[in-house]
Amino acid sequence: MRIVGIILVCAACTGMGIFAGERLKHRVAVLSELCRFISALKSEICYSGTELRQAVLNSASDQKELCGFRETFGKSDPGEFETGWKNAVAALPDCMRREDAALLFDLGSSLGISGIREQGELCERISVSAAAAFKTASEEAIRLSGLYVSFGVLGGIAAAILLI
Amino acid sequence: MKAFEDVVSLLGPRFLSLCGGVPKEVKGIATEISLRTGRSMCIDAGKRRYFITSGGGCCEKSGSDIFAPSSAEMEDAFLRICNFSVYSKQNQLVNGFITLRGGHRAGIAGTAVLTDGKVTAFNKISSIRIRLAVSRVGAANCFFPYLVAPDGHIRSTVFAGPPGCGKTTVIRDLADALGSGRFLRRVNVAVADERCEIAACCDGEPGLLKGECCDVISCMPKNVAVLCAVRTLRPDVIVCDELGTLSEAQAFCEAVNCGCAVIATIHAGSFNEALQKPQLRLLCDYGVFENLIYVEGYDASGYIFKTGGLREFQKCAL
Repeated sequence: MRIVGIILVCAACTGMGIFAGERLKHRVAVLSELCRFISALKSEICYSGTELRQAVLNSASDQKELCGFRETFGKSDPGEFETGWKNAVAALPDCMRREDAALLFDLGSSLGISGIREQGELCERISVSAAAAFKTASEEAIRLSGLYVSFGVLGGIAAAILLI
Repeated sequence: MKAFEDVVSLLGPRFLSLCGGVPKEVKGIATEISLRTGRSMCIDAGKRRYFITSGGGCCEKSGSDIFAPSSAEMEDAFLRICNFSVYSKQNQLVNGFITLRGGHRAGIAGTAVLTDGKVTAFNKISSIRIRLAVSRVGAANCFFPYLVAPDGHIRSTVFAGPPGCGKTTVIRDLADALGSGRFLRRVNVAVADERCEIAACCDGEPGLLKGECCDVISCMPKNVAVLCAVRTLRPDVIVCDELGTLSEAQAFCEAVNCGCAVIATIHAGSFNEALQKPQLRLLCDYGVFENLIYVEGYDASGYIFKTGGLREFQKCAL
C-alpha cells in the first residue's frame, strides 16, 4: 500500500512539473499565433479595407490556438465591438498571462477608431510588443520547462522519502 | 418606416430607445434625422420638423425637455455608423459623408484634420445628418413620356432640382424600370454609384435596385466609372447622381458619343440656374442632353416639375 502511495505521489509531482512546463510551451504557441493574427489584421485593415468585425474573424480564421477567441468574438453582438472583444480576450487559453491580455485590450480599445495609417501604426506597435513577449516567453520556456519537470520529479522523490 | 428604424438601430441602443416613442406616421414619412452635439435631435418628415424628447417621444416645439446628444454620445453614434471601422470609411469621410447600410447617407460635420493640406479625417464630430434612402416604385412613371422618343430611343436627360426634392429617388426608380423592362423593352443599365446611394450595394447585392439588367459600379469616381462602364459593361443607358465637375461632364460626352444615353441629376435652385451651370453648358455645347427636367418637389399628387428640351439648351449655349 505504501509503495502504491509513493508511486502516486511521485507521479503526481512529476505530472505537475510536466504540466507547468507544457503551460510555458503552450503560451509560446499562442503568442506566436497572436503575432500572426496581428499581422493579418493589419493587412486586412490597411490593404483590404475590410470592416473590423470581418477583419478580426478573417485574421483569426486559421489560427488553431485562437479558436476560442474567434468563436467567442463571432458569437458576440455585431453592434457591441468592445464587449465582444473583451469576451474574446477572456476566452484565450489559461496559459496566457495578465500582460498578454493587457496587450490585446490595448489593441482592442483603439481598433477601428482612426484612419488607415493610424490603424497600421497601432497594429505595428502591438505587433512589436507581441513579438517581444513571444521572444521572452520562448526563452523562458527553454529555460524553465525542463527545470519544472525536474522539480516535479525531484519533489515527488522527496515527498516519497518523507512518506517512507 | 423600416428605413427609419434601420437607421436608428445603427445609431445604437440609446438612440433606439429615444426614438421608440416616435409615432408610426412620422417614421413612415421621415426623410432626415439630424444629430447635433449639445443641441436638439430632430426628424424632418414631410414639411414638418419633430424634436426628440428626453423621455423618448417627439414634439413639434423645441423646449427644455428636448434631447440633446452629448459629445460622447455623438462619438459613439459616429463609431457605430462607421461599423466600428472608421478606416474603412476614410475615402467617404474626407468628402464629408458616410454611406450607411441600406444606402442612407450620413453627412458629417466636425473639425477637419488636415495632412499635407488634404483632409484626412474628422475630429470632434459636431453634426450627423442622415438622409433616409427610400425606394419608391413608380416614382419615375410621370417622367416616362419625356424619356422615350417616338422612335423608341431613350433620351439623355438631366434632372435638376434643389437638395431633397427627390431627384435620386426618381433616377433610382428609372434605373429600376429600364433594367426590368417596366417602361419598354429591357435595356442594359449601368449605374455609376459613387456614393452608394442609388443602389445601396451591400456584399455585392444592390439593395435598392431590383432591375435584372442593372449593373452597378460603386464607390468609383463618376468620371472614371462612366468610362469604365462604356468600355466594359456595354450599357444602353448610364445613370448617375449629382453631376458636379467638368471632368464628369467630359466623361458623359464620351459616353454619348459611344451610343449610350445618359441620365443624371444636378443641384440647382431653378430651371435657369441649372442652365447656367458650367458642366451643363459644356454638355449642351456637345448636344449631350435632350431633356432637362427641373423637379421642384413633390406633394400628395406627385412630383411638381418643369421640362425643357434641346431648344432651351441651345438658347443657353447662345
